[in-house]
Amino acid sequence: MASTIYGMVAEFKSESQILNAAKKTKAEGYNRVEAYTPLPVHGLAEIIGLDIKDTLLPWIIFLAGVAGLVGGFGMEWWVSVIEYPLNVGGRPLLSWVQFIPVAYECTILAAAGAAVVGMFALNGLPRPHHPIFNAKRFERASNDRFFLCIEAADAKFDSKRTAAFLSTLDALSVSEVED
Amino acid sequence: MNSEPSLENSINKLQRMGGVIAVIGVILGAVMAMGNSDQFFHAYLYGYIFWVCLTLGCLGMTFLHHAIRGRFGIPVIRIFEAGGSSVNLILMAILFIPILMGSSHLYPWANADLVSSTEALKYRSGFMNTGGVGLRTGIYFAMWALGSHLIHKWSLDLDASGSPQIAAYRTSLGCAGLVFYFLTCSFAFTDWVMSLEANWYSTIYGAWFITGSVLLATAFTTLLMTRWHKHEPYRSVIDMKLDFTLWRDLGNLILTMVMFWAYTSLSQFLIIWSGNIREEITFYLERNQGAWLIVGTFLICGQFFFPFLCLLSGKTKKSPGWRLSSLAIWIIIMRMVDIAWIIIPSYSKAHNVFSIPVLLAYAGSFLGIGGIWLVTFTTRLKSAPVLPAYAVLVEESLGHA
Amino acid sequence: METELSQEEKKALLQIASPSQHFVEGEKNYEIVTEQIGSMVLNQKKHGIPWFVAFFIGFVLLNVLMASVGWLLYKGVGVWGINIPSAWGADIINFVWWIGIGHAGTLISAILLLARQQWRNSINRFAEAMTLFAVMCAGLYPLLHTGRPWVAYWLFPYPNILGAWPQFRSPLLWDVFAVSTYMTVSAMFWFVGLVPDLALLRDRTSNKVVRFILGIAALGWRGSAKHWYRYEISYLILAGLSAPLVLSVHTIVSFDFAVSQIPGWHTTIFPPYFVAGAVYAGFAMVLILMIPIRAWYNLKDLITMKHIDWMAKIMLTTGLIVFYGYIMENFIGLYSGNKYEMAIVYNRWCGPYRVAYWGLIFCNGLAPQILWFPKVRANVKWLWASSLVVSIGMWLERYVIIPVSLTRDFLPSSWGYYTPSFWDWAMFLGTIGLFTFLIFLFTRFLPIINIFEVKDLLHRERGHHAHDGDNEQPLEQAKVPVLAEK
Repeated sequence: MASTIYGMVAEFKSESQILNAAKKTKAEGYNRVEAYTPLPVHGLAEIIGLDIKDTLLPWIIFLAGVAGLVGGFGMEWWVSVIEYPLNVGGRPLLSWVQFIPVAYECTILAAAGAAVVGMFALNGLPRPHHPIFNAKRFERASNDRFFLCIEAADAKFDSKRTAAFLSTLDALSVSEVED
Repeated sequence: MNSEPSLENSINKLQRMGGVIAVIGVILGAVMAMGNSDQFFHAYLYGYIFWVCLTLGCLGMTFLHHAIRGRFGIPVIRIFEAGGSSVNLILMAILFIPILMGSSHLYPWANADLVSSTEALKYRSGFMNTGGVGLRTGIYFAMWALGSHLIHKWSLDLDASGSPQIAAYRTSLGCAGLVFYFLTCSFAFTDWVMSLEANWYSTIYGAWFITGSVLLATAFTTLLMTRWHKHEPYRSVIDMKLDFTLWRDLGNLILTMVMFWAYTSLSQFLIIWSGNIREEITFYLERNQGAWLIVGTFLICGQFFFPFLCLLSGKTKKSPGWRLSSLAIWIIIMRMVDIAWIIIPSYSKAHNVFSIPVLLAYAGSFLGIGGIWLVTFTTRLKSAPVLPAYAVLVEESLGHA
Repeated sequence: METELSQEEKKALLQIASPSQHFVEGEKNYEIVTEQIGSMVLNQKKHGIPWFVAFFIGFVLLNVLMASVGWLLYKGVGVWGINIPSAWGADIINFVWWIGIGHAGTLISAILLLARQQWRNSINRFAEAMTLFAVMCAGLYPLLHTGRPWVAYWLFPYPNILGAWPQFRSPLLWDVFAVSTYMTVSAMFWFVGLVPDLALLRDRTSNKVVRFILGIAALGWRGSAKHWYRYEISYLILAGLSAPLVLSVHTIVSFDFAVSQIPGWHTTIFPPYFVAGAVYAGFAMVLILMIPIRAWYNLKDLITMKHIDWMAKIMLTTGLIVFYGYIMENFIGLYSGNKYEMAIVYNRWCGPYRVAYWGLIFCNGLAPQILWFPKVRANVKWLWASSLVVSIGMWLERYVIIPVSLTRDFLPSSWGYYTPSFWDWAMFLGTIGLFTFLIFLFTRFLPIINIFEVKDLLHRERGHHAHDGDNEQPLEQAKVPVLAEK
């Protein structure tokens, strides 16, 4: 069965080891690198390299919140002043004081929705299958093992040399991942 | 140790500044209010309430810090302790005497004509009268001063001896002090400020005022820290490991208090606006017209939206740069405006505030009381090490662990 | 300026000033944590008699709920004890009670996260689940009180052939927005926290069907470093949004009462005092559930006595705030000089509901003061009992707020008395059943402790010792790399 290679993966035991390995891999000149860890490891994403997609999220959430606020208040104004004006206890049609709670809830709802949907969308999830799941012992990546993958798409990738390099990093195992 | 005198110099400078301000303020106030006792007492109460808020805000933070033994307060606890010190509390108690003497110029309950013509005032007259307010205020200040004295003493003893007994004492006192503080402050602000309105009452008033006071105290401390952090002994402690979190913690504390201020203000306004009951709505009617409406709108933007948006971004809280120090100054100014907005419209019928001589009288009172306050504050600050030795020791041990 | 201390003095000082920082006890590494929590889902045999007993009680009471809802829908809301002048009764009391209980979950997961209280990591999942289930129980009441729950969508603003729109000046409509937003955001927050754990269980199970279901639920989570990076940003911002949300929800619930003009309802302390009361009741409920569950499932080294102690302290603090609210209500009531305000103070103290009032003062104000004593906080039986007392007290509080004001308003001719009917009690018991039923389903089918966050906590507390017991050795450098077998 002819198969293409997705990348070369190395397995590590601890946070410090994978941080170290990621640093060395970047220093070696590899660029298409990704790490898979059972828990967030601080500083790892920064080593591997952040891109525009990573700074986008707070702005998306902020804008969604503003849209929720404007939309919520706008809806209240339109309903109460234009479409369905009712006199309640002689209060002004645009009772802005009493419109605050609903506008506030709309803000939170929109921002929170954007935080969740935006995060999954930027992460490209849901995605039921991914080549990295073919990696040997990858089922432990969500439990107690830390994986570093150099992708075959990397300009410097060469099965043998990459594997040899990864095995110098205190890895528990190094293996090839089929696409 | 060689840069140590530099902090001392800064404190001394602040003290001298306080002295000069006090003299200017007293003269200014005296000249501007000469021959107009209404104007004098109105201005005096304003200046007094601002500085008593700062004192009580510092006292509250002192109790809080000792109660929860939090890390965030370690570099600043001595500033809070000095601000809410027994000396300052006694000073404020003495400065309250003129208010009692001039109560008939200030409070409707001290005005015999109004009392006999107003149902609510007549009912309250057994409780709200010069003697009663004076007695209660005296008791509150005595208790606050005692609590403040004990907790500061134990805080110093702990540095010297490290005795677990004393550590337990000050924690217990901190907790008990907080409970007592909330109740007494609520009652005190009812007597001092809420009763400026003949009919009005609001149950959230105490929480509203305490929030504002703590906000003021935090902003004041933040301002001092942004000025002093480069001096020893602050520098070594802050450089060591507290650097990032100290500014972030102070910023977040201001943010929390700003949000809580907005929350209590909005709750009070929304409930009273919606109920629209005659006795209550007067408070907002006075403030929702003319220039006060503009001041109120300015407060919503300046004491909530602006600092909220500034502090939402991590940049402001990252370092003690111009952002944080200007924000602290801004908050202090906003507190001045807010307290003016709360107090002055209650007696604005007596005179027009928006004229130069009246404003100068207010400024004189503000500076006069504030100058004296700064002198006692700095005296107290100099009397003890600015860092609690035991807590720094703990931090060191954690840092090396 | 620092005083020189002897070594011994330093040691003593450190012990008292720096209480141990550890919230995970016992011999632990990542695999042990995974096994301890994950096996509750993957190894169904772990659920013994206590689970069945609790689940069975929940199931029986759930049927009581079904019956009372069925009867209500058949007969109408007249089966409840409500009638003019008390048009609100047990339905609103229970609504407020349940929604308050939910608040502890959000407080634990969001506010403690923002306050960097890492110890929350081992209790937040459970508390969040409790939030969801409590909000479900709460939501039932106003929904059924509308009389025609099948047209509940009329509550939302949408263009319709009736040409009618909701009234945005009504706090009841604010409630619709607040509660539905709260439910949605809590569910999202909970789910986001669950995804990495679902992925873990997906990778761990040997059952194909389970793996398929978990595979779908985990959305293909693979733990990529960049994904974690965005995940953490999103999670933190969600917490930042949930914290003001949780405050707003009970604030808006309090507006239901406070924006009216009824004495006893129209008072400005209501928003913060309702929020504090909600957290108070919520922590009591967390303790009521957590204390037995940690014993049944041997989770004492993850949910330690220190957690319990902290929760008790928060309960005490919020209880004091609530008590402050009572004092201010009475003080300002007497200060006001307004005869209706004073009448309500009199009615609470000496009126027909005085037993409930003094009961609530005892349950909420006095009894919990025993939590000041560290010995009580260290004794789970006492703590469990006082949590129960607080739950009862918080129910009484709403009972006092609602009928006392409604049945004693401005005109003596319109006074009345409110008694909950049999079906009110049946439905209350029924929602307790629904809550228990859901909690124990959750205990069985989802990880009740956030596994990856506990690992994070373990890592923070122990550093590289978090991998103790994992004896696999790295490849020797000179060895030829093991390539995937072709």
